[in-house]
Amino acid sequence: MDDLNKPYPFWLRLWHSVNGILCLLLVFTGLMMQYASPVKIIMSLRSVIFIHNSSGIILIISWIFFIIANGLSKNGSYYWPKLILFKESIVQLRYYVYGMFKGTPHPFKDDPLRKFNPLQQMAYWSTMYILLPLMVITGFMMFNIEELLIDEKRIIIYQVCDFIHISAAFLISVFLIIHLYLAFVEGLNNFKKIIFKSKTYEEHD
Amino acid sequence: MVKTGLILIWIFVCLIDVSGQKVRNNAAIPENEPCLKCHGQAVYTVFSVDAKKHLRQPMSASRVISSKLYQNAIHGSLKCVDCHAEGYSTTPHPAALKFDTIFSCADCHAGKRKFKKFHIDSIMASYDKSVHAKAMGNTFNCWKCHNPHNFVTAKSDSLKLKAAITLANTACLYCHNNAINYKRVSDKTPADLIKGHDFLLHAELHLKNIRCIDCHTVQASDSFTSHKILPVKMSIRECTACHSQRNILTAGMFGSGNGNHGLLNFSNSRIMDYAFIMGANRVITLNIISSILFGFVLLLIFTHMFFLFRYRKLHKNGRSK
Repeated sequence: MDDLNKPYPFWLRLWHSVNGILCLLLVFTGLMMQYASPVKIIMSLRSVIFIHNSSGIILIISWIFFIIANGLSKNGSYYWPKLILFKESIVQLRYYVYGMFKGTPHPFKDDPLRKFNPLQQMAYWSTMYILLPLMVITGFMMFNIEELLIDEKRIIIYQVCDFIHISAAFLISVFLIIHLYLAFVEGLNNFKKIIFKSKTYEEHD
Repeated sequence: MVKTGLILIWIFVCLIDVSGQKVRNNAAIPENEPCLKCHGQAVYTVFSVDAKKHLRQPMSASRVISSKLYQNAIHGSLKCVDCHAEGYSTTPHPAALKFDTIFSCADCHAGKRKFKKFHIDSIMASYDKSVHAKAMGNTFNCWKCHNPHNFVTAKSDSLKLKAAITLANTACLYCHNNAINYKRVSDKTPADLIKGHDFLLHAELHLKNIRCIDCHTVQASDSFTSHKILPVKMSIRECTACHSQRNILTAGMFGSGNGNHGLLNFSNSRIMDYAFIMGANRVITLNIISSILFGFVLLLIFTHMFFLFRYRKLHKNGRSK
């Protein structure tokens, strides 16, 4: 079996599933906290916060695991951005905007050196290495919120953390929506590949 | 020189009032002195005709009056017998006096032009609709909340806001946070305050920083008429009632009523407007930006989906032909 047809490693499939579930939980509980009201209760706010905080802690562990595993395996090299990606992203974008409606073949075929297309690579890299760390750090700082609401200086820290946390959350949610849509567009095979032990880099039409 | 400086600092410190109360310092009234001789302390001496000697007796806690607090109280310029029957001038007091009717605020203040600024008529009207009046009728009166011997009004001064809040809540907590006092007016047991406010995140923080009546009454533009204490179920539970631009806290003693609670000078007033507090304060601009962002993304996806289905359908038909 060549590199191209190897299934995704177990740790990656496990991490992806855990990460996906946690992200969905965090988005939904985050929205419930954001628009919470004591008179319109879906779930008690305390339960929502408990789920959000617990998911956040597991996400931190999962993220640290991902970084270490990436460092120890070849997987990390698929994420690292290069300047050429900006140019290649335009080609990929052109494919998504009209190329795929004309039957144009995928501009970037999967190969052992490239697991993601340029847009994916940029999106995954910025999500995993910029947005998620920002979320994790600011979320962690807001853990003990009562301590932050004591005086003016700490409130400013809280405000900055909250602003970054919520803004990053919006961007990750946008990523999640597009990610799910493109997974749907590419067909069920992609979903099967990352969840189950089916072959990896499937050739595109 | 150092000594003079220290004296000046001491005088300055003495002048700073951090109590949040209006300081009155009424002059001591000589006619009250015989009363306070006994009622001003925890024990008193009375001559027993039967025993033919002076007896030391403990004064019932509810009848002990601090002369210092009384002098600063809103009614501190009154003689005891202005409100209590003349019969109290004799000691020991005749037992029948215990059953004398006690004055209410309205007995002195209602319908009098001089006291119009106290809004007693509207206070009484709103009080009559309160849960206290409805549940307890005549057994409840003004004095259950406003102790006539030490009742003070809070300053409408935002710099001492926290002290004013504590002062305002003392009246409620006297019964609601004390099972013995509560039993004096009700057969029930007082609810656990923190448990009862469990729907609020950081319940303790809220209870310390706002007045009970802010949520448990219908606030009017002045604080005088907020005596219609609501049943628990009807009390305000919505976060945005406070955590919003125009909120209930700007009414009454804490604000100018113009909706600008920056004037409230809360140490944490920033969180009222400009930051995210779960379910309450949201940065409106960021909310609009996020809505536009999500709207744009969804529009893009649906447009893409439409063209993709169209292409796939045409492609399929083309192949089948």
